[in-house]
Parts: sequence; structure tokens; C-alpha cells
Amino acid sequence: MKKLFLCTCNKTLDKKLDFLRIEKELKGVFDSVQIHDALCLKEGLAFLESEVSNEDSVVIGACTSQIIGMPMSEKLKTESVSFVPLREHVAWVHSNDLKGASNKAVVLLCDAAIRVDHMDSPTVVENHMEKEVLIVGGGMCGLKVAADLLHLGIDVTILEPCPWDDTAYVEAGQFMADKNTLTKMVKELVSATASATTICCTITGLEGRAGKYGVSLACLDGKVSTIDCGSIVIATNVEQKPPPMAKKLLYGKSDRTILLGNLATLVEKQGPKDVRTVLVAVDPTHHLSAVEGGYLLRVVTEAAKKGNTVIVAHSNIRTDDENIYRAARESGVIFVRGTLEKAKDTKDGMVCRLENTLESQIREFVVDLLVLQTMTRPRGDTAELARIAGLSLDEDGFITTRYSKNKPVQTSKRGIYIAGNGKMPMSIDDAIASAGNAALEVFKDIRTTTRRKGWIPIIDEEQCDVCEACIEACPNDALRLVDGKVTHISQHCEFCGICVSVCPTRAIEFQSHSKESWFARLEALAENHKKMEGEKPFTFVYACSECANASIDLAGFTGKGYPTGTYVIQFPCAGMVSPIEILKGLAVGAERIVVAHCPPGGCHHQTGDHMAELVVKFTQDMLRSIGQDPERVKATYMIAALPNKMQEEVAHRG
Amino acid sequence: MTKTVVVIGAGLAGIQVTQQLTDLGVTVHLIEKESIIGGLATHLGRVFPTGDCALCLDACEELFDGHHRRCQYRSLLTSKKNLKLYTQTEIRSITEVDGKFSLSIKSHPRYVLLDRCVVCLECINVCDVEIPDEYAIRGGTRKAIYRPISQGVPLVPLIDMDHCTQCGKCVEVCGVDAIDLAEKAKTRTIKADALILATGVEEKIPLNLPGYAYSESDDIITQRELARLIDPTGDTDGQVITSSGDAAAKVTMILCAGSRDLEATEYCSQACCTYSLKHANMLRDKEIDVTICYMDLRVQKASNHYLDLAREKGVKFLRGKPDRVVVRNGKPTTIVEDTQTQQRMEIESDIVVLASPLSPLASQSEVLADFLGEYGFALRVVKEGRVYACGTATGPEDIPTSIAEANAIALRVYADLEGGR
Amino acid sequence: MVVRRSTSDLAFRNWVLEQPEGETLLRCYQCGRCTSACPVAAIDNSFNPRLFLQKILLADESLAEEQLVWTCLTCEQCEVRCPEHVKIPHLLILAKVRGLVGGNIPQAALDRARAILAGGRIIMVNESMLKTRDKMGLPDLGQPPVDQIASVLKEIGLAKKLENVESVYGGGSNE
Repeated sequence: MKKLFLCTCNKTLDKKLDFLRIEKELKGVFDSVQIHDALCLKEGLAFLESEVSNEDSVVIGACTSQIIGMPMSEKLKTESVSFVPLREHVAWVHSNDLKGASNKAVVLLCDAAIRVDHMDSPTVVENHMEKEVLIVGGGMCGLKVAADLLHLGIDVTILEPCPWDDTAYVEAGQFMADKNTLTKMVKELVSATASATTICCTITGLEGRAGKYGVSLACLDGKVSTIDCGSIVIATNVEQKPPPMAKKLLYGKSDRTILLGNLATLVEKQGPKDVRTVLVAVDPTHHLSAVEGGYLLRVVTEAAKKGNTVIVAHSNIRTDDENIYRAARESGVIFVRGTLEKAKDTKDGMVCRLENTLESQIREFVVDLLVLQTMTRPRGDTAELARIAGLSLDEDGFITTRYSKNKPVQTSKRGIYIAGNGKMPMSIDDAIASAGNAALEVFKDIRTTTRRKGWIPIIDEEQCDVCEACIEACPNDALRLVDGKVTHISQHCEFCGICVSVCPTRAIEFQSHSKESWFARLEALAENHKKMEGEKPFTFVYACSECANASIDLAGFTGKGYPTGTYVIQFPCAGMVSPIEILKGLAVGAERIVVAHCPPGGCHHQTGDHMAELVVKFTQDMLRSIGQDPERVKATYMIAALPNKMQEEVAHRG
Repeated sequence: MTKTVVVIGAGLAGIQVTQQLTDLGVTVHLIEKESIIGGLATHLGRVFPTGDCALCLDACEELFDGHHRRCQYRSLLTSKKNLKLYTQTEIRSITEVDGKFSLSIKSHPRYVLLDRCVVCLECINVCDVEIPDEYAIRGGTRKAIYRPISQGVPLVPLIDMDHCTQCGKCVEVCGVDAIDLAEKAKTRTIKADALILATGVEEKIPLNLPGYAYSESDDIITQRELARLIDPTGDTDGQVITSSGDAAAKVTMILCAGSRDLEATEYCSQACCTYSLKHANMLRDKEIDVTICYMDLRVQKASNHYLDLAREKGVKFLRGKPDRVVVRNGKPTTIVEDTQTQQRMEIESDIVVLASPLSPLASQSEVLADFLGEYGFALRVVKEGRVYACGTATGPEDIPTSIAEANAIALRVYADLEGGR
Repeated sequence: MVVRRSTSDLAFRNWVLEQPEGETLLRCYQCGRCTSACPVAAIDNSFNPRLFLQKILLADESLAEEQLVWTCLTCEQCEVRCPEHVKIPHLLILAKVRGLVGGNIPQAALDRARAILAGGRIIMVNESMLKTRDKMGLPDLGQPPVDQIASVLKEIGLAKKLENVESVYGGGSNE
């Protein structure tokens, strides 16, 4: 039996929707139509339970499914229920158009009736993570991850190209904090990680999947081996590199030009009478990070305290601790806001001439040493490691994370995390927090076997001509070529469907979202629209189920109304929309198609926003080439913080 | 036996640490003094470094496998079984007995029942009372029964009893008996094995800041208030208008308005440079002329693109800390030395925006005083095995750092409570 | 643009730092709030307290040589507004003293110092002034203890200095 349940939401929606007419129109579509006043409450849920049996397929026309979705999902099978958010997507946004809103409700409910016919039961993906954890990079962050995991009873292997001792850790971390702090922390961490296995190797290859990675190693002694691990934490270190202007400032040519780290060493060893005049130059083309600024300030303060005359030529002082800037000034460091363009080595010293912008005055300093502020950059082997692991790098060579706002340690690959400075230069506190975060993610993965439910792509081997476009496009490395066939690694799949839109032969169909289902739905939507609204033009909004759908929900909540004749069709990800669905939409008569995706770089599946833009552009080109108006198709982002987006995109029609 | 943790403050960090601990099987009591969760983020609309929604949460694992990130209102946070959320709740006392905490908390009544309300919002439509809306900048109003913001969680409205006339119209219209005008405050005692301070920061209201005339003109506003002006869900529908209702054509921003100042707030609030740039870019998109008066531009690496973009879009940068803002001919005029030309300038603009410091909320509470350190911020581990802090309660920081910190603290608390295996 | 070589011995700056409260100079981070607060700077763009502090920080003796600092009204508005509690008017006084030591002092200031030495007063009191005072019912001014003042100034060595010093700029006419 196919059953429709409508909710009046405390009898408020019946002012905006003509429930009797909706019921009448849908009599032939559903075996039963029932109207309730509060489906989400205890009594409503009890009512549903009493009315629905396991064999029924159900359409619920109520509010945004997140509100009632949870209690409902415990009672109904995913594949036999389809929700239509009549409240947010219809009643609240067309509140002055009872007739239009009711017509739209009928069209959407008919669509849901078809949708529910095409739904498959979701695939259960089990992932058991091997308990072994590989930590790449044995700096302080690596040690911290190891310490946290060992404490929780998880074995770790720390991988380093060369063996470290306590001083090496302090040395490598000195840009992050003062020596005393570091020495104390290193001591604690080294003793907490005594039981970790440490091997001196570099990674030469990576295969397998999250939970079961196989890592090929080349060791110092020339031996080659592999180890198996469930998850990998990248905790590679950074190094201090000369800034772009180093050459102009005679770095490498004159003994008087040194790097900040050299100054730190000199000052440490400096005798009481051994005072110098030094000028520290900061490259203005380099965005100084807080930790780099902090390092600079700590070093110059020490230098000034030892009696040296220290001048800092900078364009911006950046630190997360104002008090260390205060301390630097009070220690007598002279700050000059200007850029040192060139220096001249003379017998009296290095002649540094620069414009002090705060007095519009060129000043000349003759100094014993010219010190270059260094750039904190990933260690040399990071790029190679990223290549092997299939991770991307930012313009400075740091490894990028999955989503920079609230996925601070997740890389684009499941089971591979990044802790500390491999992502960006961090203060010691932030680096330690980042390591703790990575340890948490690993621990959560290992703790239980995860069981995820979702629709996955099904590959038709006969249709597939192994062009590998899907393998290239899958943001989660869930498609691979195995024995000449495209194979789905379900443990990596995030159920987005981006693979579908890139397949040129449509050899990939997504469960519940087959081409046939789209064709049936789009045809019915158009037909029903024409039946209800005649020749009135209509628009399809292909919205991703995350940000775009939320934005449209919020349009309802905030009363940002838009004209009827706009049908929102949910896709798991906007990246799943292929030219086929767009062209079909136009073919059935839609005036416009809007593909609404997550904000640039903010796709929940990583690349869906980008993919949607590409697909739309491709389709526009196609339309142009056959003399059609490409402007009928558009890709745009929609987010909950911009609930007016829907209004803006469809307002030109009425 | 499952362990119990009290998380104080349901801002982004509090929510994050709660999500993680509950995913790990720890029972969490989440205490929030406001009627909705989200903290400072409820005011911000869009945030750096990604430019998307402030109210985007790392959603719980069991519900959203694959893409554990959801809008606050879709996160289903409140339906987690081992999470108890107390809104409108204050902590009256904290006592430590035999290594366990006992907290006395008082929850103020919402007058609308969470398990009855269907969020039809009819009660709000029928309410006759109109009072100034705390989230509005240009005179917007709300009802006595209201939802503070559209994404506010719990979604259920609440009644502001200070302004309610008890006319009973809302009760009458509510067909599901969700309104109880006689609801009383509840005092409870909760026991916990550990406390986590996630009390966050607020933007200091610069009422007593000499020179910047904040209280003299409604066209001298803070960055938080500007965020409300730009927000399309705010009372101006995202239009940047002056107090007289005209569209603003020229905006001057003053950074460090009270930060890095021994007389006001000594520390650098860290986030203001970046959100000022974010706002400046948004204003430039509306073709509003923007001048930023700064001392240093302290932008996090992950947000450097805001600075590059601001230069590209023609935001004017002036290095100098203004002495004062005076209202002349009804317009705020900023008096500042451009230190790089050594010229004293008087900049007349339609709106002046002050980047006011972020100050710790925990320092406003007497019961938390013992846990706080310098400037009213707490250490991450206040008391080994007992009291922790994360998010901006430990110092001003951006969202990614806050989230990482909350995650790290979640693991730390879990490990300390459950012990090594 | 003139190139100024910054002296390596930083004599001027170090001398300022040695004076009582002179060390507050180091707290300055050149925000410029003092200049925008200054009523003199509002009239005369060349009077720039922040710039004066920058020059002291860089030990630029030209500040002491030039007589611009003498325009300071010591109204202390700059100090009230300084976010880092720099004793700006005091530092400007130190700059004046530095000038004085080197003989760089405006003619008008010299004249006044000499007037004190000679008559115990900055301004010479003439008959018409006394009459006006009388009319207004103000009390008799009496005579300043000229001898006492002279001996104090002699004791601290200022009297001798005033005998020898001439303003290098010889100005004063534009006072």
C-alpha cells in the first residue's frame, strides 16, 4: 500500500494549503491520504505507527524532515519513506498564494510518490580499522599523538628518516616556544612514548584503504620493507627557509648575512663583551604567521638583553602574545617599519639603507650582522609524502585539510590525519592541541567497527569503457582500477555520487537515483505542473542535501518567500547532477534549472561544488552550440546563513 | 560505569567537546545560560576562514556518517541520548567532594514545553507585545514570545516574562498545549566526574572606552553589530544603513579599539583583524567605501586570502590608531594620524565600526573564579583529572583552533576519566 | 629624501632612557594616537609627538636641534590617551633639556630664562600692568626674591650656562 500522511502543524498550515483539495487531487496516486495535526509529537508518531505496516511505502508531507526524521526513522525503513517539507518549502514561502501553494504541494507529493518507488535499501558499509597506527614524523607533535594513543592502549609506530635525541627535538621545535618550555615537554613526551616502535625509514609507497593500509618503506640501511597499519598520522616537521629577498640581501655571499636561527645560536653562546649591532629584516612579501612573529620577537629580545643593539625592519608585527612584543620593545629592540631592499657589505659593516615609513625618512644603519627572518615551511620530504598519499598541498607546500573550519586534522583521505605543523606553522599550544585532535580521530576510528548506511554507486561493467574519469573525480579515493576493472571501495565511499556525473557512458548508477528514476520524476513533475498550473513557467532547483537544502529550509523559517512554480529536487550532492538530468529538465519544459551547491571549497564531500560548476558550464557550452540560451542553466551556492539566496535566484519570475 | 562530565557553555567549542565525549560514550550535561545554543556564533552569520555559516557544527558520528558536518538546526544534537542540554541555566554553586563535583544549577522557565511544541510559530504571530530585539541593530523588534534567531536550537520559542502581558492569546492558539505560563524555575543538583569550561568570549561593549563616542551615536557600532547589519536575516535584511535609515556609502573601521591597550584590554584579541577584513570585503561587494585604521594586521595563515582580497577590492588601509571619533553634522568623524604620511586626518563617514576586544565570559561568574588565570582566561588543564577548558575560554582564537582544542580536550578528558587500558 | 645615518652609539636615546621615567619611551609602538589627540598638531601639521618619539627611539639628535618640541603646551592630552602609558610630555621635556644642554634653545626661551635671572619673573612687570591689577582689585604683587633665585640658578650652574649660550637658530622673532 502507498500511503500519504499530511501534517497541518497545529492546524496552522491549513490557512496556507488547501488540504481538502490536495487530498482530492491525490486520491488516485495514493491508496490512502490521512491528515494529522502534529505528526512529530508522541501522539502523531503513535498514529503513524498504528497506520503503517512494514510492507507500506509512505510519503510524509510535513515539515523539514530533520525535525521529525529521527523519531520516524526508527519506525520506518529508509527505502520505504519519502519526506516532502511542505511547511518550509511550500507553505511558509508562498504564504499569500493559497492556490499556487496547494498546486505545488500536489506536484511535489506526486513526485515523492514516484521517488519512493525507486528507492533501494541502503547498503551497509562496515569498516574495521586495524589497530596499528603509523605516525609519520617524530617531532613533538608526532610524540604527542603517540603518547596519547599509547595511553589508551593503542600500539604505534613512529617513522622518521633519522634518529632523534632530546636536543634534536628541542632544536626542531625552537620556533614554537622558548627553550625551557620545550625541554620540559620533550622530556615528558619522550618518556611517555618509550614503548613506541621507532623506525628510521622513509615512505616509498602506499596502498590499501582506511583501516588496512600497506606502507612500503625504504630504510636508512638500504633495506626495503612494508608495514600494515589501520590509520596514518602525518606529523612531519617544518624547517626554516631563507625568504625570497635573501639573495638580494647577500645571503650566501657575505658572512654578515645570517638567518634568524643563526642569531639565536650566536646569542646563546655570546660572551658578555661580545656585543654586536644587528639588523633583522623581515620580508614583506611573506605573510608572517603568529608563530613566526613570536619566534622573531623571542630571539630579538634575547639578543637585546645580552647588550646587542638590535634593529628590526618589518612591515607588520604579528604575534598571538602581545606581552612578548611588549617585552621586546622594553628590552630595547628598535623597530623600524620599512623594507630593506638591498644591503652593501663594507669594511665598516653591512650598510643597510631603508625607508622608515613612519617618518618618511631614509635611514642608514651600519651593522655587524644582517639577520633574515626565515619562513617556516614544510620539511623537504613533505611534497613527496603528499604525492604518495594522494594529498594536496597549499601554495606554501603545507598539506591541506578536508575543510579548514571544523575539520582541522582530517585530510582528504579517510584514515589519514595530519597533526601539527605539516598543516601550517603553529604555536606549541596549537600544535599540541592539533596532535591531541588527531589522536582522538584515530582512537574513534579504532574503538568500534563502524557501520555506515548509505546508497552507493553500482558499476555496469558492460557499459564501462574504463576511461577512469570516475577514479579521477572521486574525492574520497573510493574508486580504483583493480584487474582492469573499476572497483568500488565502499569503506571509502561517502555516498555523494560525483562519480555518476563524470561518467561519459552512464555506466555508473547510484542506488535510488538511477537515470530512469530521474526521467520518470522529471517527466511527472512537468506533467503535473502543467496539469495544475497550465502554461505557467517553472523552474527546477537541483539542490544538494546539505548546504543548499538548508538554505532553502531557512528561507522558509525566515519568511523569504519566492514565487510558486519552483520545484526543489534534492540530490545527495550537487556534484551528482550530470548534464543528463539538466538537459532532461529543460526537455520536459523547465524554464530554468538552478544547480545549488555548497559554498566554494565547502562541499561536504570535498569537490561537489566545483564539480557542479564544471557540469553546468559544460552543459551551457552544449546549449550554446545548439543555439539555445545557456543562461537557462545556472550553478550557484546556497548556505543557511544566506536564506535570501533562493529568493534572489528565482525572484525574477512570477 | 559511565562517567559524567559537565560542559559549561554551549558555544562552538562546548558543542564540539560535547559531541566528541558523547560519541565516546560519556554522559554530558551541557549548560547554557542563553535560551539557544551557539554562543557568539549566533550573532555572526558568516565566518572566516571559509566564509560560510557560523552555525556549522561537526555533527555526531552515529547520525551523520560520511559527512559529519551539519547546520546547527539539522545537527540533532539535542536528540543524543547521553546528552542533557540545559538552556537558560545558571550555575549557583560548584562543590567538590571525594573527587566528584556537585553542581547546583537553576534553569529559568521557557514557558514553552520542548516536548510538546511543533514550532508552528502561530503563538508568535498572535502576540501583541513588541519590544526591541536583542539581535537587531536598527530598531527591529520581537514579540514577548519569540525565537531569538531562525537557526536557534532548541527550535521551540520562549516567553520573555518581563514583557509578557499574560493575555493568554498564545495559549489559546496553541492546539498542542505546549505553553505553560505558570512554569517555574527548576533548581537541580547534578553530579559530575569532571568539568569543562567552554564559556567563551563576548565582544566587549565599548561604553566606557574613552574617545570613541560609542554611546553618543548609533552610527558608531562594533564589528559584531556590523555582522548583524550585513546579515540577511537581521532586521535590515542585510542592508547596511545608518541610524537615519540611509544607505551607508562610507565606513571607517577602527581596529584595536580597546585591545593592546594598558588602559583597557592589554592583550591582542586575535580574531578582530580577520573578521574586520571579512566585513570590509563584504562591504566592498556592496560598493561601500571602506577605510581600515590599524596598527598591525594580524591575520591567521588560513585567512590570509581575506587580506589579499581586501587589497584587491580596494579597501583603504591607514596605519594609525585614531584618538577619537566625534559626531559632526550628525556624522561620525574619525580623527587619526596616518603615520605613514605623517598627516593628521579627519575622516567623515556614515558609519564607524569599532573592533572591540573579546573578553572572557567566565570572569563574569563568581563560581568559576577559582578556575581562571591571567586576564580571566583558563588553562586547558585547570586541574588534572578534574577541570578543563577549551575554546575561547582559554584565550581568543579562531574557530579551527577552537575546534581542534575542543577535540583534544575531549580525548584528554576521556583518557583521564576512563584511564589507560 | 635626505638620508640619515643612525648613530651606532644611540647616545640621545640612551641618555633619555637613563632619566627618571625616560624608560617609558620603550613602550611606544608608534600607533599615532598622541598625534591625533594633540591640539598643537591639529593646528600645525609639522608638530607630531609620535614622530618626535620615533626620532628619540632612533637617537636622532635632530629632534633636539630643531626647536619644534618647544611648541608643546604640556596639556598632557597625549599621555591621557596613550595606550601604552608612555610619558610623552615628559619625554618631550627631556628632548628640550637635551637641546638646552647642547645650546639648542629658542631665543624666546632664552630670553625668558634670562628674565627670571634678572628680575625673578618670566614677564617684566610694567606700570600699566600694575595699574590694571589695582583697578581689578587684585593684591599687590610684591617683589620676587631675585637674590635667592639668582643664587639657586647659580648653584645649579644654569646662570653660567645662560651667560655663554646663544640660540644656534638665533630665532625668537617668530615667537
